[in-house]
Amino acid sequence: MIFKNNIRKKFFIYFLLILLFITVSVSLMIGSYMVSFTDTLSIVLNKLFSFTFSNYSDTYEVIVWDIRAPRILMAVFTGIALSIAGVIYQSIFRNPIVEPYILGVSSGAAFGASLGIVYPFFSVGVKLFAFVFAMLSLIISYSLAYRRDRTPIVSLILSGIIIGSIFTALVSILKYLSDDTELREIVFWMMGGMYYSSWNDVFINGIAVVAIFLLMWLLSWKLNILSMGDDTARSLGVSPELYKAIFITSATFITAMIVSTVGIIAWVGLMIPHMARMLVGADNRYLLPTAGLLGAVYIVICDTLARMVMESEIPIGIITSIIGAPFLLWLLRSKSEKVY
Amino acid sequence: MIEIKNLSFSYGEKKVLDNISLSMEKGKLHGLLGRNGSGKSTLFKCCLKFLKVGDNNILVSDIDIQNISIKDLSKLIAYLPQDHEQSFLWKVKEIVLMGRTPHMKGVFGLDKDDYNIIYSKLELLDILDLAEVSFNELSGGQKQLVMIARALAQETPIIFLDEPTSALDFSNQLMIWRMLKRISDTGITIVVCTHDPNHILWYCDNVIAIDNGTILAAGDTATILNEKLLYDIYKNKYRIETIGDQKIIYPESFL
Repeated sequence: MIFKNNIRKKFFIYFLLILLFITVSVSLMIGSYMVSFTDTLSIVLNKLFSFTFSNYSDTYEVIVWDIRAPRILMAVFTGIALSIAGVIYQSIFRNPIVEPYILGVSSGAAFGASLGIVYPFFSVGVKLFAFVFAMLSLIISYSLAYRRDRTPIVSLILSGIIIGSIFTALVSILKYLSDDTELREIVFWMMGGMYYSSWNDVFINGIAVVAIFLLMWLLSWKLNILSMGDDTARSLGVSPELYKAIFITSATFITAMIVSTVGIIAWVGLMIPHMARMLVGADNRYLLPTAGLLGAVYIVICDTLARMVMESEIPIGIITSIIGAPFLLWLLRSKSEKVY
Repeated sequence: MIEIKNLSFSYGEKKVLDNISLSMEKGKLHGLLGRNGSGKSTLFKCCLKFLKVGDNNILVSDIDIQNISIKDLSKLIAYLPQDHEQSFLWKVKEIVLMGRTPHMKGVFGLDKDDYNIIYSKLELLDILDLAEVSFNELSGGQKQLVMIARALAQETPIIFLDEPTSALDFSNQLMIWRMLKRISDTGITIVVCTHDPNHILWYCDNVIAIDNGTILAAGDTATILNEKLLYDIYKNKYRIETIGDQKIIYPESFL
């Protein structure tokens, strides 16, 4: 009786792990050039273990290993990061409609990126600029909300909105000052996409996302307690100030890294945590891995669609919203009475 | 059990508690009575270290709470806040399991013993059949019982409850009080903040009356809860009448 339910939850996690593996494999094979299963497997094995069993052409190797593999892996890390950040924010803010951009991170990143695009002579690179301003928006929102060793949720949300709108206004100024090419680039950056992802991005983001995921998972019971509210947490011996700072900083850190690499990808951080909660419930010990894997599968599918549905690639942010929004609506209407 | 000495507390300029001294006996059911804004909640928050107090102001089981961490304090006092709305879908057993947090050993740290403890607490409160039910589907009375089960799972010698019956119907209010009485009979000290003097009269061993941040009176309910004390608290006249073998408080004028 006690453990029956947890077995079902573990089953979902293993199932999603296998599903992710299948999704990634299929995604490596399909696209404007179709690569056969044997060739794909052979290319991957050759690159990883210098072991090969079929004579594939060099073009296929470039397509699978240099073009598709990094962007697919980047999609995996993006899905994990945005989904677990969504879970964390929703638990901490005790609010199911919160998303990872709540503290103005996306607007900060957008401003940093636009600055890098319009004034390339500052050039430390668009990505670094985006990251710095994303973290800056977190620091400003957090310190605005902090008073008398308390960080009330309402103050955090308000200061996030304020910082967000200031950076949005600054982006508008930059758009106004930019020429046509730059404007186009800013607009595209803000719709998100994996196309610029390099192996280098995969390594940097991969290490950060995996490390933070593990840390968050280890602390997931504390996250359960925090979602009961500050006073309850304190009375159960969990310091809300300390752990809120750890969770919010970690979640924002990976969101900022991902946003600065692939742009603003909407909806994932809001939608995936809800889907995961319907599968395994609110306990973050199971919810975090479920949401992370589900998000990874979802982004890999969306990114594959992004490069396949039209002649030229369309930004992934458009796809995640177009599929995600109606799907979440359907899910909430059909299941909500049981869940919320 | 709880010893409060010369405790004062101010929010900025406003003095909320003024030199309070008080002692609460072990294993008794204590009722805290006072008007809105009299300082009841602040007194609670000071004892729970939600608010900062000075050295030797509050001793719990002879330990100065100033010298221990909130984690150690959470092994001494369990607390039930007034509002416990949940934004997410928690099962009853998961909520009760959270009460085991202060005793957690490892990282995920909950083992079979923890489960056994929470099931025994659910059984004690006659709600074992609710273990797998979603918390949000429960009635107000059942929710309150679950929260009490969580406090019991914390296995503390003291439990604080902030107006546990304020949102409940008449029969559930009495059901919760009977349950609290039953728990205090097992040796656990219970401190309840309430707005109904009749509940204190019927169930509490001791009453603590607070007004304007000072203690009006504290002690055995039967001895000190009288018409004069009620007037001092509420500034209105009340009568205490005996019907059968039960006393009841009612206002002198209903108009």
